[in-house]
Amino acid sequence: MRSMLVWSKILLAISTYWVLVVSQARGKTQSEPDAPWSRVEKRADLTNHTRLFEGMRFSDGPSVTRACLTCHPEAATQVMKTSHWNWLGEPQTLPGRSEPVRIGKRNLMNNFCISIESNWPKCTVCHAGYGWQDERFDFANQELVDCLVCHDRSGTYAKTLAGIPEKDIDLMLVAKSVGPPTRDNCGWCHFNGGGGDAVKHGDLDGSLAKPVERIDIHMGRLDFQCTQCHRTREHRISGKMISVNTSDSNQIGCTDCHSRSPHRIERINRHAGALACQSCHVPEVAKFQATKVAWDWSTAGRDTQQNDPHRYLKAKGSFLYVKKLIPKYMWFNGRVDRYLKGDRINPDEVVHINLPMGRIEEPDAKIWPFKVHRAKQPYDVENAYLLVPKTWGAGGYWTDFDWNQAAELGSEASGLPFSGKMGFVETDMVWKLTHMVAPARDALRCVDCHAGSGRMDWLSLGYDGDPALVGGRKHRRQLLRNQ
Amino acid sequence: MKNLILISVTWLLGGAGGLYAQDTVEADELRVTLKSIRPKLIPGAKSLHPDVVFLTRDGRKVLDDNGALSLEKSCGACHDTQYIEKHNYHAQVGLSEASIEAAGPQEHAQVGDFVMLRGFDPLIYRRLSRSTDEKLDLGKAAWIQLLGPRHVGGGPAFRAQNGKMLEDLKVGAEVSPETHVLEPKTKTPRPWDYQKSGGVELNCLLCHMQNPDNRERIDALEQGRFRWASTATLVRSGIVARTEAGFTWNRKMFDARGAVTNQVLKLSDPPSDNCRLCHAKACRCSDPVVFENSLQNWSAETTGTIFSPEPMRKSGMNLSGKPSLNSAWDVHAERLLGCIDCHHAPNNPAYNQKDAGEDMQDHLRFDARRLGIEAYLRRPDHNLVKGFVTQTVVARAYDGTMRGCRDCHRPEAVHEFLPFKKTHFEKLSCQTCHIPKIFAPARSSTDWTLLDADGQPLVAHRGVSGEINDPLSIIDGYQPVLLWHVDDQDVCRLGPHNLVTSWFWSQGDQESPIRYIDLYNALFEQDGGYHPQVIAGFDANSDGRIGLDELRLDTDEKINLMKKRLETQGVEQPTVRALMHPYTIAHGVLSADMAVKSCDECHRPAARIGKMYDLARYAPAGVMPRLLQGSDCEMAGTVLTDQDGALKYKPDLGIEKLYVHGAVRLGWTDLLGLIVLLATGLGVLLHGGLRGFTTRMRKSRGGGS
Repeated sequence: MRSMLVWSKILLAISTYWVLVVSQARGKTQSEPDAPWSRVEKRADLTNHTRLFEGMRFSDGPSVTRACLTCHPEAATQVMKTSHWNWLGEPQTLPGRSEPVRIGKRNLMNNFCISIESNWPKCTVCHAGYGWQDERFDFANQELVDCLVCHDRSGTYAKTLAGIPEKDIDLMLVAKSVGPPTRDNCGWCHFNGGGGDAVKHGDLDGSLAKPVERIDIHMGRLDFQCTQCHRTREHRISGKMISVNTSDSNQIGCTDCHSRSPHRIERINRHAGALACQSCHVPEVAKFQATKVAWDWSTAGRDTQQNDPHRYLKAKGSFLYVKKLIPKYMWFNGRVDRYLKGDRINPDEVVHINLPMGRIEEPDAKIWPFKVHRAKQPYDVENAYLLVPKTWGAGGYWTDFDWNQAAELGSEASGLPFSGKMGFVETDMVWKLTHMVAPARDALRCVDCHAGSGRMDWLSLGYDGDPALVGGRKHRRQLLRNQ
Repeated sequence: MKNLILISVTWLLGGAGGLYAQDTVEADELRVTLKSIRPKLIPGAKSLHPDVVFLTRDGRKVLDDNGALSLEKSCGACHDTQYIEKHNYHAQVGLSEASIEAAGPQEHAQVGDFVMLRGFDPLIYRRLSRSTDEKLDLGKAAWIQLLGPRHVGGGPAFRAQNGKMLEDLKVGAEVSPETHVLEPKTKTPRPWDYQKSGGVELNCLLCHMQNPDNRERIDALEQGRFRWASTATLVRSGIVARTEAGFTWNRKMFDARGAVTNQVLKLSDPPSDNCRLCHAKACRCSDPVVFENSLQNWSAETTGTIFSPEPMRKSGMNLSGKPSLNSAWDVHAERLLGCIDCHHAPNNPAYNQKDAGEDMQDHLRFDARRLGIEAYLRRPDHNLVKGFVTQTVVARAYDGTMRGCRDCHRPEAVHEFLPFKKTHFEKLSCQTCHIPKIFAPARSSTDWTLLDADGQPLVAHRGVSGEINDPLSIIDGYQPVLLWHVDDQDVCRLGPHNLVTSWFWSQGDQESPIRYIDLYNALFEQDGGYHPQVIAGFDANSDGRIGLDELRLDTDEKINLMKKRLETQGVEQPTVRALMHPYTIAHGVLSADMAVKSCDECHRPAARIGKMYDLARYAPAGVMPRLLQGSDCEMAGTVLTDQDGALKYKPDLGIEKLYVHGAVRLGWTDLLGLIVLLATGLGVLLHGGLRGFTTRMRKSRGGGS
């Protein structure tokens, strides 16, 4: 009887070992379990504000802000520390420069409408504040913080020049509706970057307000709100755009929620060493609306051409819009070489306004998908720098169609001397594509990149050819070491 | 100047569009002249092939007298084109194999012999007539017109059986299939003017040029302008234009030497798209894959396989459960393999590597010696390596020369879930589990006993609910039947097949079919309408027309009517015969996650192995088909009819070869089990009885236990 008990225990131990260890080991693969839901930010609860404003009257935006601050006294202070208010980031040392600088929309140039300097009211429609008319705006005045643009849930709120609420808006209705930001709130500015829906970003447009899953899996199938990925603490929203930032701090990524090797096929997981997730999972953008990929300012001012917002406007020149844009792929190590106002240029070459840094040799660099926007924009021929023209308002180019006058007025506002000789130079700007994440079934497949006519320009990326045939960069580094 | 700028800008933006390859807002008025968006060369599109001087057969430049392009001369400047043509079963289609004329007609009636040339294939029906044939059916020129669209040229399309060029044949008084064709209206032979038509040279461009103009090539063949077939292949490239008079070379595309640059020609290794022109859909098409119900799409028609990396759910077909079909049509295509990666030239030094033990001395692991690249390019052997498939009809000597599944994969390294790995790998081909289903339709039967109003046979497909040409018909796909066949390791294993059954009329005890023209004339009048006797016999609803559903040879009256009609055409003792052709399925391999993994799939009664397979709606003239043996492995089974008259095939896999747990019952094992059970019970009873008896005996004696 005793021996039977002993044998039973031995058998039990063996079977337990088999179940717990051996079978686990046999089934083990290189992939890590992907359990994103455990890390997804929960949505903030909606507080009913409908009875909190009794006896109050809102005559303008600041009056609403004052009401908000009575219960949220710290909110304005928090907002005023963010780039959504300052349109400037934290001090940072840019590549190739020694002094740290604060950069942001407030002082940078781009190759769309070029600069906000001298054009404030038109640009600051999207400022989270009230009344930014010119360089004298009071960034220390808490009452000028616009709470409603981010928290309106009524869907009726809209802003006009200098960020002032449009006339006839029922501010009480809006105030009573407030809640945590939705895609509509963020999209009011970010979907319309560049002055219209889908114009600037390519991966952010109105189709994301109520998307189907093929437009974006997170927002479509799972109804994610922006702040579930762009986690927000004390009004400081995580995530940065490389058009206005040059460092990779405070970024968000897929691996905030997903495993680093979530694919069942190990070969695909190995791709993650050289590819950003987005390279495969954002196979195309501007899925619903065409986005602008080229803008030639040099043709502006002609009366002979018919105005068409997608082809030509007398005020702006010629455009090229593309729908279902296939990204351009470049190495990116998280840092950006940024053109700053007054930097000298070589007008015979394309001026890279925000060139992503990174090379195949850098182990931390990965291939990312980008939207590239190319332009021809004004520059000072003698001083050899990009000009800040005044486009909007009295004396601006859009009013008088006089480039010299626009350049002089812009020069006064920006502090960049204008020599009087203006030309047009080619520039490019890039946007990292991270939205419009396709369902897994629509992600790129082997043949999309590796077949002879695939979308990757392997030679430009620094490979000796298709890495499926000539070896990846690990193989390349090995060769270099051997040499 | 303004127009020039506009054209430049449009081209520039066209380039940008090409670079982006997506929907671009019309850019007709654009003035964006950015250097940075000029088109770039797509990597991989470049080829090292030099420019080619286009020559005619007499060695002059084509521009000199607007002559027909001779690729034998033009390509022959560097490549040994005569060697290539001779070592090329796509060109020879059996011409250079065993003496065709010497073999008896009975042998040729068997599928498997030179179908393209002289054998009978019920899908095509017509074959090149032999000189021993009593009556001429398909002369060489008519053969080129009919089957040339699926033939690459050269071989029998360029030379006669005696090796002479067709152009040099002299027409004698004797009617010969080489020199004569049958005049359909009068049913009399007439000589073909090869001086005028020329022969069809081996068309290198058809395989090696990106985007060849196959439509124009086929038109040239069908119009009897054989000499111009290669020239016509260039129409799409703009190098030559088709005119009313023929073809005119575009001088702008030539340089001063009379050469065309390779940027225009784009010569390279054969892209898979080019194989598609004759075999099956095989491409990275910009348009969604659609099923083309055509023999020009041969592999898809006979097996339903489509070699494409495109996910099935993105196809243009009305597939059942389409949204969930995320797998590519073929996993190898998806993983970057093209046709020639497996079906390469046997002397290609990149592939032609001997493995240890393969004609190598024991002490060697690797033979470093290689054919030089110059020697290879001069004489690349175009007898492309291939596997074992039952439908192979030419170059059987090359069967099994390609690397099979096990030459690239190591199945033992995976398949962790699979018990009895060795047994499974011994008995089953890889395709059995990795091609569990074909998602496109495939031919199931061809009835040549009657013809439809267009003179075509009555064709049925499996894997589709409804009419094959109706875009609303739902495509369900089908599960292939498992039959024994020789696989890539030259071993008999169970593998997936499609069975295509065919019925046709023959004369007396001949196994070959009667001439198409006799069948046609038996059914139709001169004006193309059905003969009144045929209408009277088949028009069941008396509407004066014969609908497709009425075209059934299912009563003695109809059979006798057809016999009489055929006898009027000179067919003696018309007899209906039926054959069943197995088509081995080797493409359409699915990714591992769609392979069969459930034991239940095979190890249960009425499982996949030995499953009844649908053949046809009925048996015309009640004739049951005979299964043709496609390989050295014996295929056996029984053809049955169900209560509705539909034909089924029950494969007999042979118990001595295979015992499938759960699916197969063996009488003797059942009996043995019963005997063991009974013996055990008996033993227990005996033992217990004896113990009880002895105990009682002890007690009765008063003893203790």
